[in-house]
Amino acid sequence: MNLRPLFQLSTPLAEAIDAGAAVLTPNRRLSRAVRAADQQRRMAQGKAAWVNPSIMPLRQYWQDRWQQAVTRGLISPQPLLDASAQRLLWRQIIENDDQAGFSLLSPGQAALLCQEAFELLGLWRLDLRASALRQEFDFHEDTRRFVAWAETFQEVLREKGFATAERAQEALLDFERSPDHAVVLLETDQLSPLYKALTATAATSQRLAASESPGVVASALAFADGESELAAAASWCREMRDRDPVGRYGVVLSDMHYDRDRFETCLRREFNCLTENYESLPVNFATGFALRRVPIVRDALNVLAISSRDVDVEQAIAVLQSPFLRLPAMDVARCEGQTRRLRELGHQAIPQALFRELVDPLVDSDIPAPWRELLRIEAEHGLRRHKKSPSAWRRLIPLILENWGWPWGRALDSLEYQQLQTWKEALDRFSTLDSVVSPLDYEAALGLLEDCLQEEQFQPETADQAIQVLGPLETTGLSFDGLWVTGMNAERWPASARPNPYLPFSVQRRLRMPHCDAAWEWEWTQQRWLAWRQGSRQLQASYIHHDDGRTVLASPLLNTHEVTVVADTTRADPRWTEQRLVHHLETIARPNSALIEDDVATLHRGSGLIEAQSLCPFQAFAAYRLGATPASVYFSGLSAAERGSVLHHALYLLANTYPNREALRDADEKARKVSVSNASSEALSTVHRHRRRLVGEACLELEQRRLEALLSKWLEGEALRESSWRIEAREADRALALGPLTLNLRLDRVDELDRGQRVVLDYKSGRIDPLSHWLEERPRKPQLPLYALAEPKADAVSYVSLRSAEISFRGLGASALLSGIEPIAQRRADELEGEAAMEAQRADWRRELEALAEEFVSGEAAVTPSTDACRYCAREALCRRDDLEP
Amino acid sequence: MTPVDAPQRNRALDPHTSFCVSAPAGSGKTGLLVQRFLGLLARVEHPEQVVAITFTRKAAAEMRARVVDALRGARAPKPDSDHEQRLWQLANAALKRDTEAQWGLEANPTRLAIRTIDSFCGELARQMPVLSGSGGALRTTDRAAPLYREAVDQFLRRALEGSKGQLPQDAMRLLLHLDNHWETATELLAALLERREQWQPVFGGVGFAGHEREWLGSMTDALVKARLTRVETLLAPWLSAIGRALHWSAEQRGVPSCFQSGTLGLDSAREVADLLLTQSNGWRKSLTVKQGFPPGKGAAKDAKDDILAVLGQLREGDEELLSAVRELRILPQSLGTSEHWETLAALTRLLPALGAQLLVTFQQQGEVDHAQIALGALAALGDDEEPTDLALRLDHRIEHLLVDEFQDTSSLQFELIRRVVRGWREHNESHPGQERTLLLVGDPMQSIYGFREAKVGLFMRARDEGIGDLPLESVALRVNFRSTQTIVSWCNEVFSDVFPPHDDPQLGAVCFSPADAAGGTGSRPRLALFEGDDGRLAEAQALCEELRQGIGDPDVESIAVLGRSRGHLAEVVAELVRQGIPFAARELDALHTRPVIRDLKTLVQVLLDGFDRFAWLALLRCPAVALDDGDLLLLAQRAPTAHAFRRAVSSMDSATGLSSTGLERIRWLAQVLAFADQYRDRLAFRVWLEECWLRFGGPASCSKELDLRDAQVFFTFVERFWSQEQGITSTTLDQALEHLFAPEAPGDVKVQVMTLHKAKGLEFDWVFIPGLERGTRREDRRLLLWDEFALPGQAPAFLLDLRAAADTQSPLESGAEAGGLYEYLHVQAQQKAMLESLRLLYVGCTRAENRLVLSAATSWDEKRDAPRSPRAGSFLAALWSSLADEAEIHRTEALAEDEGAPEGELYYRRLTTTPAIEPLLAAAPAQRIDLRENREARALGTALHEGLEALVYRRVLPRHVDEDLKQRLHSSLVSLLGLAPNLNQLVADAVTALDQSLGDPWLRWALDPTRQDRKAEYPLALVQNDAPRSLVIDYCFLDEARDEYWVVDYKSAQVDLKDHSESDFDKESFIAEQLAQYAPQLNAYRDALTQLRGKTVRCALYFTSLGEHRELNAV
Repeated sequence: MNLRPLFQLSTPLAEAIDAGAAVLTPNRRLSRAVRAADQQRRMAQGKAAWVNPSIMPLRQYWQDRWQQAVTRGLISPQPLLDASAQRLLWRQIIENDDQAGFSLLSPGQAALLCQEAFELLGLWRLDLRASALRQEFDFHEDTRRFVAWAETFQEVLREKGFATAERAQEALLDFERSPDHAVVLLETDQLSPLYKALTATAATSQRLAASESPGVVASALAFADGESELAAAASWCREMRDRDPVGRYGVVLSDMHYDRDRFETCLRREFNCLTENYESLPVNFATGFALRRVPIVRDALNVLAISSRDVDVEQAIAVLQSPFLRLPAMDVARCEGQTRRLRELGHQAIPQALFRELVDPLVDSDIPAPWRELLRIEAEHGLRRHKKSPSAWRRLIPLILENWGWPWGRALDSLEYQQLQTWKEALDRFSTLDSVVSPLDYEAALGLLEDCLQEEQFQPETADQAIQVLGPLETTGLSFDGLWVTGMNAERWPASARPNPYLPFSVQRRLRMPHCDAAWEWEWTQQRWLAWRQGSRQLQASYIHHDDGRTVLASPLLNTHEVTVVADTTRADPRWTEQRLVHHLETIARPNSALIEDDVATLHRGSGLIEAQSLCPFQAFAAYRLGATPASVYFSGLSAAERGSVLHHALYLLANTYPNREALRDADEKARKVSVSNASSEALSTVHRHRRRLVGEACLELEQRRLEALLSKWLEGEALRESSWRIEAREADRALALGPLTLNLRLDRVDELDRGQRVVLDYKSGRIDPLSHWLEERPRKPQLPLYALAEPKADAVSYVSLRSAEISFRGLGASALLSGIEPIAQRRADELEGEAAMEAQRADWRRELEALAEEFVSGEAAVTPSTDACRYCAREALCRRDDLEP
Repeated sequence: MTPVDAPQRNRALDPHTSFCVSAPAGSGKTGLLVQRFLGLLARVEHPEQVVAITFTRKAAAEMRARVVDALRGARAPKPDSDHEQRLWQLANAALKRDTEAQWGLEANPTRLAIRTIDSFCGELARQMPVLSGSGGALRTTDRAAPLYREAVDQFLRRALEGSKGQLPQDAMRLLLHLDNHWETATELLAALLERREQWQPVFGGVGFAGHEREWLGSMTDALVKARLTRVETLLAPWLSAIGRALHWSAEQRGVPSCFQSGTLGLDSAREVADLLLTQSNGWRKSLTVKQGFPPGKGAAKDAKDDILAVLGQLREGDEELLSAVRELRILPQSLGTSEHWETLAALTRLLPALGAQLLVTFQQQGEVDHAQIALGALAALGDDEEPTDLALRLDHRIEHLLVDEFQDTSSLQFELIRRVVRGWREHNESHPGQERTLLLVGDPMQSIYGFREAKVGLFMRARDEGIGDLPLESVALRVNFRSTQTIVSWCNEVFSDVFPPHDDPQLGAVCFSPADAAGGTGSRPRLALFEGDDGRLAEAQALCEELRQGIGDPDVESIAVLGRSRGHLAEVVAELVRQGIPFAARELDALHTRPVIRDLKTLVQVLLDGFDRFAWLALLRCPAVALDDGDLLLLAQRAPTAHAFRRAVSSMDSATGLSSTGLERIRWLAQVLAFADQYRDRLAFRVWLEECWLRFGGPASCSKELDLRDAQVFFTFVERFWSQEQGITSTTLDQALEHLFAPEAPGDVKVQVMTLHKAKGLEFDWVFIPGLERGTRREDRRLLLWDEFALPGQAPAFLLDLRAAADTQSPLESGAEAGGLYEYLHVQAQQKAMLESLRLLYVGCTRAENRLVLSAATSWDEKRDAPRSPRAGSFLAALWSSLADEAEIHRTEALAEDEGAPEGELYYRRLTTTPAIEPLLAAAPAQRIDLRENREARALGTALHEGLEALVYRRVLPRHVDEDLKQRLHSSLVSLLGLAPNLNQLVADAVTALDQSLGDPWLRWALDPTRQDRKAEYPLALVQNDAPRSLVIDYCFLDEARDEYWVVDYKSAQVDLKDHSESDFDKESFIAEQLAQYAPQLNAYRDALTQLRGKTVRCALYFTSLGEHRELNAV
């Protein structure tokens, strides 16, 4: 089935071609269409072979002419610098400008604008050496700075022997006209002075337009949001094609960059090419997407990134799971364990060496694991020691990738093969940057490579299709059976003027440079509108009338057309509603799963279990039986847990030095200082070495100072305590039989006071909860009540708050043994006093806590959180609490 | 009817004068702006010379639409009404000017310079890329918090790495001050970065060195003194009685009193405050022995009665008196210890360096916050010594500036405007009749953006003193066209009580100025109280009831439900959703907690990170799988890792002890996951997710139809997120999803739900403000507080102080002794916030045109049999004294619902059946791919081709590669490879190969310049199988002697001697291979040329590396 041609070859044009004229078009798309039409014509004439005429974009044509002149020895050869290399050069010049004493927030943007500005000067044949022009630049800092940079730019080009295309083509103007040189300019409005002058060098030149008759404008459509607009355009495409399969349909996306991918999704849905039929979408896209975004390339970049000085943990985890890599055989379960450890380190960026250390055990030592190979490459090629040119990096990069088994993790499909090809080409282009950059270190080279890949477009090869998705300029000269233009709002058509800030506005306006002012924009907008109308039998315009809470006006181009507001068209995928019709939800009761003997054996049974059961039975079930722990998060400095455990350890050590008040009182200040300092540093040394390395010496040193101050203050208070005390036990392990469970508890400290009373102490480095939380029917904080049961002779149980802001006891006991310990009797409703009250409380606690233990063992796992139970639980996805709502 | 303030309105249109207009709610502010804008348009050369700055994009859009409408309307005949006539005249003049100057405004409305302050700044920064430090257009982000964190992180690391100098010491000092708590430090410093536009002008340069302590001390002393003097004046009539009471009390308690008659010292001031005020800062109503007034008769009674009488009078006094006495309690006593001071100084030194680091972070991430754009714009405008000549840099000079909502201007914006109008006064004096003008419009009573650094005091300053040296004429409008007379007078009545009695720019206090109503009468605003445990639900239900009524009423066009914060509207939104009442709510209805979104997140987590065991467990609980506890436990025990889950799922056999349903679901899940694997990274991310979700029974698992919409929002969001981010991880997605909201209902929905802040500038027929009983979150205790103080007779100066070590609670609140400057500043900030919240309520109430309903859920005080008095800080508390008596009280019974599953029971949802999954094709085995580069070889080939082509154009064929040719080869290679390090070697290789070819007699014969028909790079087309094929022949020529053509195809393939050692390289078989490979192509050339020339065509490959050719035998 042959599609209707996209271009109608007119007789004058055909005659010109036959007479040997070159046809110059504004873009490649039109060249292709003209060529296709010309070929059809000749074939229709029965020709079997012919000399291909020159039909190409204007810029390329003059580039070729220049090249030919060089080949013929008319102009001396000179390598040209392409736009991206020029930008890079600009960027270097801007970044190295220390005279100005500043650094721009976006040197990349500056380079882009300067390159454009310089190109404009070339296209307008302006010479910065001309004093009148130069004066205009001198008025203002921005343009003045540009001139300085431009001088450096030209200097560098001269030194290296390069030229820009515009400056090189100037040389073509010096030739005599060759009599056989004829050109036809097709649909090229607004030629810059350079191209005007070049055209004048041809013996004959004529301008032709593709079509003269404007098509019909259907009513404009206004949509409430972008989704609806694109979905409607997609379904229009399908309807049009269904009606006439050999027709040609175009969709112009005003914002190609933003809408392209979304529109592709809409089209795929419309044509049912989402999965199996992926490759039969009857659409050509004018632009591809950045190569950097392509998965296979993305993973290559990830691999390269985790070979640099600092490794991003998330990136590393992605690499370890990439489908494009073939990693050496490793125990995946262990791999998962290690990645968990990677995350638990708390830092998203970790040093390369640490990363290697953590992943190294994953692969047997005799297998060449990628990171080991990296070491070899480092040794052999000085990966980190030497700066290298892009071409040298280009040779090393495949070696690094190869180590990771990229890209043969899975059988590539044809698209991925094409992507690989583009990737190689991009690398080649990266190599040519040798010309403009001095040698780079690995990280800088990667950054540059990423920039290149961002610029490089990947465009899948497709056959000519009925539907074309185009940018606003790309319809020029083509003829469609139907054309839909999106985004026709007043803000874009016409857009605000966007003069280049590095050129004086007066110059731009005077010379009518692109985007110089509102009049230019309006004229340009009208030209586009005319071009669309002439290029299609039927034109459909649309826009979104609502954005971010405000009303958006239609483009003034639509003022004379009727605008139809389309009611909400966001339709759910019909497959969704269909699925809902077929499958239903039922509500199901959950039977309890009682603990069996085996489970009990493997269970981690601390006070936390009872606490969790008390807060919410499901929390205990999830945490202690399913082992459901949500992923850890990144943080700075030492974690609360680390600080707590260091503090505990230091206190444990000090308890050994000062087992009773007398020992403490006997020690002079200096001795105490020494012991505090020793305990602190010894305790700090228990922080895992990986973590020590990550938080850094400074943080540890500060922690040491903080600890010393805190502990000194603590000891001071301890020495001054009225009653004497003796440490009976520290970090004492106790097994507590609680109903069907035996809990393993560790008591921070048990003291004996002067009259033989015993107090269980628990150090807290964070905030302390109110004591009322021990005394509820389901005690929210059962830890110390459990200690009271585990230490039946204790007369009191108490927190010790150890914070720099506050050092104090807070607990309950038979009597007010220490300041901060309240007699339990005060909190009880009965009349009991002293020890009797304490015993009664113990009995209450035993009853309540045993009930919790029994609940847990019986498998009671209801989602019945008490107040605040959910605050730190983070298991909503598992408990589905909100699903239970009626 | 002409409004009473018509003269003022007309005055404000005078195009020769600059104004500051106070325009209260409903006074038609936008109309005034539009009129003035049109009036000014008629007087300028380019429309861009009149710039209007609005607060939001929405306001800008509306104003632009109104200007465009007016211009269009100007073509219509003159209207009848006076008001419309004025607009028509102005528009007409503007239109005339438009036509004259060919502006084409109607076709090109973007030329109307109506923009937000952000976009105005953005444009300045963009157009002056060097001066603003931007370089070009910058990407701005609304969520800059991660950037601040990143900057702090980098900064701390770097600061502490250094061993020398002040910076590491300062950083250590600060961290120790914060208990070495890095998370806290990061958070607090990040919060300071967000506000850097505030502190940068104060110590943005280098920070404190040491002598500032004295300066700060004297500033503090001056402040205290000024405050004490003020209280003395206010308390003057009672001061001697108070003194007597204090001495009596001191005597009774046996403590000395510091009070001296005449002047108040700081200590005695506190005694005064403690005597007069209760713990909770209200006037005392009684005195006890605790204060030194035991019960008794005689002297004791006299003393007590004496002071009670004073208190009685004080209670009658105004709020100002009370707050002045309150302030005595917190007046700063000292600057704290020298340790504290040192830390403060260290912080001031750290911050500038941190600010510099932020710029580096911005640069690295390629993103900046809005403040940076404003700072850039400010820099671009130049300081007063070197002002930038805007005329040269903007499209056109700014001649007139109109600024809306000026009451919500920040210091930075104020400065920006000042710089724009710099020199205008001078200009105006020398160009009478061509004045440049500034118009500021605002309503101090509606200043509600303090949290964004807006300072209402700036409005007052501009009104009274002008901006820079440009004087402003003050004009006050007072007619409210919006609301009914009833509502206007209700507001006058209520808010004159609620607002403070005097303006105080320092405190941001604005007194109330009553409005005149232009509208008719209507129903009086109502306050409804819902009492009981389910008060909030009852309130929401009653509200919905009224909304239904409004929706059904054709006279009601718009209804708003306004709340102080998103959280306060949650119940209402939930009830609206539940009752299916259509409403529009922007960014109110957070989606990330909805089950459907949560399940989607779980699915994404499992698909993206195969190592997330928790996500696996959650997946097994999604309705499609929904394992029961027993099955889940069984699997969990068998699978200590996520990977083990995956394996278990793929190889599940029946002997596992799973229930039969469980087993069936697990097997089905394996298919879903196989599908996911097959298409991973092969479909657009969004499509892949969506297809997986569909197969996972996602749509069927939604309990409500509405969930499908939310799912759609999710997928759209993911698609956008994917295209913006470099790589999605489950963590980044998770964070981003917190900002995912249900979409706005489309088009013409009557009911809108929004926060009071968002309602600014809007109007509605009916307005509901529920949840008045709620307070707000307590002010954060920031690391550093500062404020500008202007003391009488002195230049404004800054006071600042650091938060005390590691505390998170105010000593005031925890009952400790006050006295620090920090506490003083903190209380001041709280007070400002409180005053602002009252204005917020005012903004809400003045949105209403016809009906205003306020409501609250309260609890009942059984003892008093009346509603309990509302909690301090709530709106209800502010309104209580004026409205408590007229409140409608609804007592509600408990609304416990017993339908469905009893709360907390062990129920969950499961799909009855699962969707079928299409079978997948077996994947091909992966293969190793050759990635060796051959770029140099290809480049060499191209260079040689080009060299050989160049030879065709030589008049004389050289014997060897000459300098020209070499140059040519060099240039080709540079174009292809860049200035590669081994370039010279490659050039040499090319020269060698070409030399060899030039030495080959056959090639010399072929290239003979005397031949007639020679073509190089000859482009031909040949029809093959009904399709044209394009060909390019390297070289062809006519051998005139034999009258036959030759086609030569150059082959530059390097024979790699590394692969073939010299001995075993078999030249002949190499050539044979090449001939076989290229035969089809050569034959195509032959066919095409034969067609065109009609002669015999012979074809040959030419091997440059061998220096010989080989002919292809004719077919």
